[in-house]
Amino acid sequence: MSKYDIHKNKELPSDDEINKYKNFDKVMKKAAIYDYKQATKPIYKNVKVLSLIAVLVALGLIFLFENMDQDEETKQIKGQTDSVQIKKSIPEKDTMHTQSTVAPVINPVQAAHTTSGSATTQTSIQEEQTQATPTAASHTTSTVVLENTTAHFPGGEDALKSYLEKNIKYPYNAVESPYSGKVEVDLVIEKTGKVGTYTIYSSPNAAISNEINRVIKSMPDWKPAIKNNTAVATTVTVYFPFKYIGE
Amino acid sequence: MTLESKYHKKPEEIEEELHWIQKAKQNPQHFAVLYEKYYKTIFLYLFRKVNDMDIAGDLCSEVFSKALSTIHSYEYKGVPYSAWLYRIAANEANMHFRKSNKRETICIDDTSIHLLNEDLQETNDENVYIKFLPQCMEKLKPDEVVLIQWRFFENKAFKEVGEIMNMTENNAKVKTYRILEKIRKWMLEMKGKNNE
Repeated sequence: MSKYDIHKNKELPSDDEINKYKNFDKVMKKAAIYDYKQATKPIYKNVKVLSLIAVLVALGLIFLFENMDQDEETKQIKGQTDSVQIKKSIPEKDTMHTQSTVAPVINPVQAAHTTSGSATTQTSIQEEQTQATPTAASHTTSTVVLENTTAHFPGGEDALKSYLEKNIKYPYNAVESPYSGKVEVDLVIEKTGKVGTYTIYSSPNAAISNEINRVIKSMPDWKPAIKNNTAVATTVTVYFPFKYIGE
Repeated sequence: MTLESKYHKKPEEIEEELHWIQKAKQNPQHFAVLYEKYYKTIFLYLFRKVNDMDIAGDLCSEVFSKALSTIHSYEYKGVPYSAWLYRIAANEANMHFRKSNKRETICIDDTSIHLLNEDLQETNDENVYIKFLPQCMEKLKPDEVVLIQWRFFENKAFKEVGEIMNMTENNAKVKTYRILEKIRKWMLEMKGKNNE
């Protein structure tokens, strides 16, 4: 059955019949009620308010996820293991770690990662006398808590900063255009503390890259990252500062 | 005289309406002038759709109350105030049919038949339309139904259809002819089946 009823030349009502329903006072009263309803509409029913709230919530969520991503990156750099490619050969046996030489610590070490200037923070390690345990383990030391530290330059962040400032020589003899800024470099610090492979990101020119290569080659060994009392290879991000002092 | 030349609201008339709209914004009592002017038009439009005097009366009252309560946000765009009223009336009628589940009435007259034949470039007898139009309407999308209603059941000039539906006159023409192509095709099929 159709939704529509069709009529041809339908007889229309007379003016008198139509005017029976005419009532302007009624229209004014109803209009006043609509005005009142609009004015007293609960704020949560206001479309504009709801839209604004939706936008703010969306922005808040985006901000939250970005912060979570940054935390994730921090955790990855702290605990990165052998999945990173290492060019130089690594001794098969880990000679750095033997059960009897691991120093137990009292407090769990919380290492924070900073990406400005250097990639490490100093961690304090307290040594304690070994304690005998009732276990059947062959080693005589017992670790109350596990040591975890990030790789760091000997002397810490400040030492790395002054090392870079002292050793980076701006390649003034280069033909390329001047550059002032910081170049991001990821360095693999191996278990031994030696600098392994590294990646230079967005170097402005070859002369700058060459200088970075030179400084890295002459860099002293780092202190490697320790995870659960074991030295592990990790990647650190170092910013190499260049300043063109010209005319 | 074609429908197109028949619909001709003079600029002076539209400007005079603006004067009353502005007065009504200050004092609702002045809305009575517009109420008097368009009451019958809107009432009959609604009556043709709902086919009931009481319902038409109620809906008509709703249309003008809502128009008055929103007069402050009415923006004058050089089109007659009737376009705005028709829009509200069409919405009220739609709401009524959604709530009541009643059938909508299509009222056609000789002008409608003439217009349909002219635009379809056919020479159909009125019985063809009486038989097949409701079925064609069922197949159309809601916005297409509205366009057909204004053009062929309310016999509006394309200029006025455009004003009511907030599109240009040309746009209204183009869309209408596209819909008519569909209707022509369906009617051919239906006529064919009917003859079997």
